[in-house]
This record gives sequence, structure tokens and C-alpha cells, in this order.
Amino acid sequence: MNNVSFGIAVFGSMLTLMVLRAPISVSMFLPGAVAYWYIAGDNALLNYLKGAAYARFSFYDLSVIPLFILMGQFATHGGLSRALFNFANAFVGHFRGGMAMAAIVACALFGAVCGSSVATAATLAQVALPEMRRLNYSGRLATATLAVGGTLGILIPPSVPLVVYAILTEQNIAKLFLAAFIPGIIATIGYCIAIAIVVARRPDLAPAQPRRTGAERWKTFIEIWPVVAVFVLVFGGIYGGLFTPTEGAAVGAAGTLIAALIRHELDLKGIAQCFLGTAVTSGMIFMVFLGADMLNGALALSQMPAQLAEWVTHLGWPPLAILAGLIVLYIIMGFFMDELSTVILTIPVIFPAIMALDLWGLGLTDKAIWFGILMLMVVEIGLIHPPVGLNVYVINSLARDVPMMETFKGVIPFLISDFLRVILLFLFPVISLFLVRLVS
Amino acid sequence: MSGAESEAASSPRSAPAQAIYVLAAGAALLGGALLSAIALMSVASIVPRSLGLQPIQGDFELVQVGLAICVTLLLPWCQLQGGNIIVDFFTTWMRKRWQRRLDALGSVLFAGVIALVAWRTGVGAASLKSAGETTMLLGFPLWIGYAAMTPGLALTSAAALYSAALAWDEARR
Repeated sequence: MNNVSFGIAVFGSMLTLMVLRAPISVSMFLPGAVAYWYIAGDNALLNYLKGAAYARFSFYDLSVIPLFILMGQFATHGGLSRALFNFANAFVGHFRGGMAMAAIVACALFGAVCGSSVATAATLAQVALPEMRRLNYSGRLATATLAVGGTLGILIPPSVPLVVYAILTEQNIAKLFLAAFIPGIIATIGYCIAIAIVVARRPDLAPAQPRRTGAERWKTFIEIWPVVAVFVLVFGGIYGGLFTPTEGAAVGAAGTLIAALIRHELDLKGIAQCFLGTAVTSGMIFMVFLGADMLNGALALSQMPAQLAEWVTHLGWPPLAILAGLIVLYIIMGFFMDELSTVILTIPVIFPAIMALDLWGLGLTDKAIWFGILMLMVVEIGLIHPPVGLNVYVINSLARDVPMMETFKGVIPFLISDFLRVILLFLFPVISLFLVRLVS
Repeated sequence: MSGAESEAASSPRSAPAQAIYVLAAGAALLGGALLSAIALMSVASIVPRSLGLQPIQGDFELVQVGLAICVTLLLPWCQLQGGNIIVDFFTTWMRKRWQRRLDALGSVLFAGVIALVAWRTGVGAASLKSAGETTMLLGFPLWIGYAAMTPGLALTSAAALYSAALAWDEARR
């Protein structure tokens, strides 16, 4: 069997399993195992499996993932979201649509201690949704704002998908976090502009609030000290060269726990909830990794990714057009797959091809960082558009009185801002690379 | 994409089911505690190192072994909560009954894969033990790390079989 038909057989059986509702990890593992056995024999397969789980689960850089998830859980259950929302609302609440903008800003700030999109959306929704409804905000604007704001949780570092990307491509996690920073701020501003445009056309959607005094603002700022302290400690430590990202995540997890304990926001039951929540998300990620390892082990034996990269470079198509095509492919995948599975599944195959293309004359590291941020933004879009739109589902479960279609309609202005931002970053890689170059 | 068993993750009825639930929750809590311990150990190692003092010897290796065990303890609960995501986009047109049957099949496959991994990890532990391999700095016997992974993996496989039974049950109703 040649490589092309081999690849088709492996990916074909994987897609079949996925379509038939097998867990994504299993859908990757089984075809990978069969292919491995076919190429290298049963002894080689059994030998590989002896160390596969330990090798993956004990991988040092990967420990950053459950630690950041735990940190996000402590932040979520530790009541930090209310302080952040009050703070943001005190500063931007007096604008028309100000409370929605405050929710966006609070999401961005919460994203600085949480690397998960759904968790950010859900925790801010619990605080901001009742407040917006109390002010007679339109349901559509309120739910859409929170669904979209959640994506800032993964755009603003720490970011679990970005860590996954860094590990798969052997890039520097700290540099990738740095590269995501300005795009994350642009996203926050873009969402606020989207809100401003929507409410300028329909002022009845969002009643205004009175402006706060300086003293009131200062008081809300004092309340967010745990977030500021943890963020400064974690990222100051990482960029100050004091510790590795894994150690930073450990410091962050310990810091958010201590902050929650000091503020009496977390009892034993709450801590147990944090552990159980961490188990669900971390378990899923490690299982998908285990499946992808098996698949990639088999693909590496068949040399398919390398050949694909060579084939792509010899197509003679403009490299930027190929990249644009890939971005469209990622958007389509966002229709039916979650962002982490998408990254774990595609990167090992697509990344070598990206590295082989000449994109804006960038060096290898720059290209890897830029593509990582670009891909992060694109898969994040899948969280808010139909039919899957996980964030929309989560918010919908918290706001039963707003029909899901209403939320999806409300998301449209934000989607436009997302697409504009992707185009901007596509045309100007420097947006992501500026801070990285500045620091190094 | 969603958890296959998200609707089915209600309280268990039979005694073996209850045992799996309690064990999985206990394992997840233990895993969370272990993860917190890893975090605190890292902090305890960073602080003296930042001050120019002696850090904890072999802290990297402790993180590695601890993490491997921790992950296997988190997996059973993840499975019971339907955390192992599936793609449900292409089957939404199907009757619920057929969706559940496919979910049962998927869980059986998952149980099989994990059982295979558990078995091979156990074999790996045995061969590492006879080879006497240890970690570089601490001289920690590596086979213990491998062996400590197998209970969590075995429980995950059992949890997946239970999910399969639950989904099959639902398809009949």
C-alpha cells in the first residue's frame, strides 16, 4: 500500500469512528494502533504500548495543563469574577451598553487567571447576566456578550489550547503567551466596539448607568487584588526567568487557592468541586493526547506528514493562499469539533507543511508563533458560531428565557469583529510578534 | 460535540454501579489532592531557588511521576461525567435510541482501549522492575510509577463499561 492510500485508510476510518459517536480519543487510537501493527508488527505495537501512557502522562511540559485548569477552577469557585465585574463596571459602566462592555473587560481580566473559554463564559455569566437583566438589557445582547467574552479566556494567557499547540510543535510556551497578549487586547477592544455599534443603532437594547466617582472606582480596584497579584506573580516569574511555565502554573494554582481561602470564598466542599471539575477537563485532554500519540506514531512510521509537507510546497500555489485555505478548513472543523481536539488532531499533520511554506519571509520560530496565534483565534470562533458553539450552549443553560437562536443572532456583530481581527493578524504578523521581539 | 453520557450521568442504581461511582469520585479527589501537592512542592522548590538557596532535589522528577499517577486517577471520573467528548454533529437526525446504542458501542471501544493500555502498562512495570531502572536524580524505581498507574486505568475501563451499560439501558426505554 502506498502512502496516499495508507493515509486515506487511516483518516477515513478515524472519521468514520468519529461520525459514529466514538470518543475522539478512541477514534484516533484505534486506526493508529491498527496502522502501527500493519507497518511494524504486533511485537512492536505491544512494546510501544508498554511505555505509551507513562511517556505521555509524565511529560513534564504537559503538567502545565492540569495545573492551569486547577488554577482556573480555584478562580472560578473562588468568587473572583464578581470583584472583576464590579471593577470593570465602575470604569466603563456609564457608557451606553457599558455593562455589556464591562462583562467583556471582566472576561478578559478573568482570562488572565483562567485558560479555559467555557469556564470564563460560565463564571462571568453567573455574575453579569442577572445584573444585565436587572437593568433591562436585551436578552440577546446579554447572552451573546457572555458567550463571546468567554473566548477571551483562551486568547488572554494563560491559554490551554496554546499550551497544547506549544507542546505539539515544541515551541516556547512563554513566547506564545506573550504573542497572544496584544491580539487578546485587540479582541477585547473589538468586542467593545461591536457593542458600541449595536447599541448606537438600537439604544433601547441597553439602558445606561450613572457615572461612578473616583472613590467608588478605587474601592472596586482594591477588591481585585488577588487577580492582579496572581497574574503579576505568575507572568512576572515566567518572564523574569525565575521559573518555567509549569512552575508558574503551580504558583498560580497555589496563589488562587490561597486568595480564595483568605477571602473565605472556598470551603472543603468547594475545593472538592474544583478537583472534580479539573478531572473532567484534564482527563479528556490527556485521553485525546494518548489517542493522537498512537495515530501520530503510525503516521510517522509511514512518513506521511513529511511527504504531505513536500507535496504542499511543490504545488506551486501562493503560500499565503494555502494558509488562507487552511484557515477556512479550521473554521469548517469548528462546525463540529471542539477546539482542543481540532488542535491535537491537525497540528502534527499540518504544522510541517506550514513550516515548509514561505510566509511573509518569516523565520521558523516567528512563523510557528504567528501561526499558533492565528490558529488559536480561528478555532476560538468555533466556540460561538452554530451549530456547535459550545459557549452559546453553556450560556443558554444559564439563561433559559433567551432562546438559543436569539443568542446566535446576537453573536453576529462579534463574529464580524472576529473575522476582521483574523484578517488583520493574517496581514500583519507583527501584531503577535512585536512583544516577543521586544522581550527577547 | 458533547459528552455522550451527559444526560445519563444521574445517580446510579445498582450496588456495583454505586461502587464505581464512589471509587471514581474518590480517585478524582485523590488526583486533585495529588495535583495540589505537586503545585505546593513546586512552590516550595522555587522559593529557596529564587533566593539562591538549595531547591528540592529532583523536583522535576517528582512532578513527572506524580503527574502520571495523577492523570490516571482523574480519568475514571472524566469518563463517568461524559468528559470524553464525541462528535454528535452528524447523528443529530437519528432517533435517540440509535444515538444511545452508538454511544454504548463507543464506550465499549473506549473500555477496550483503556484495558489494553492498562495491561501493557502493567507489563511495562514488570519489565522495568526486573531491569531495575530508576529515575536519574532521585534513583526512584521507575516501575513503581508504572505500577501505580494501573489501578486508575483499570477503574477507567470499568467506568466505561458501566457507561456503556447505562447507554444501552436508555436505548431500550
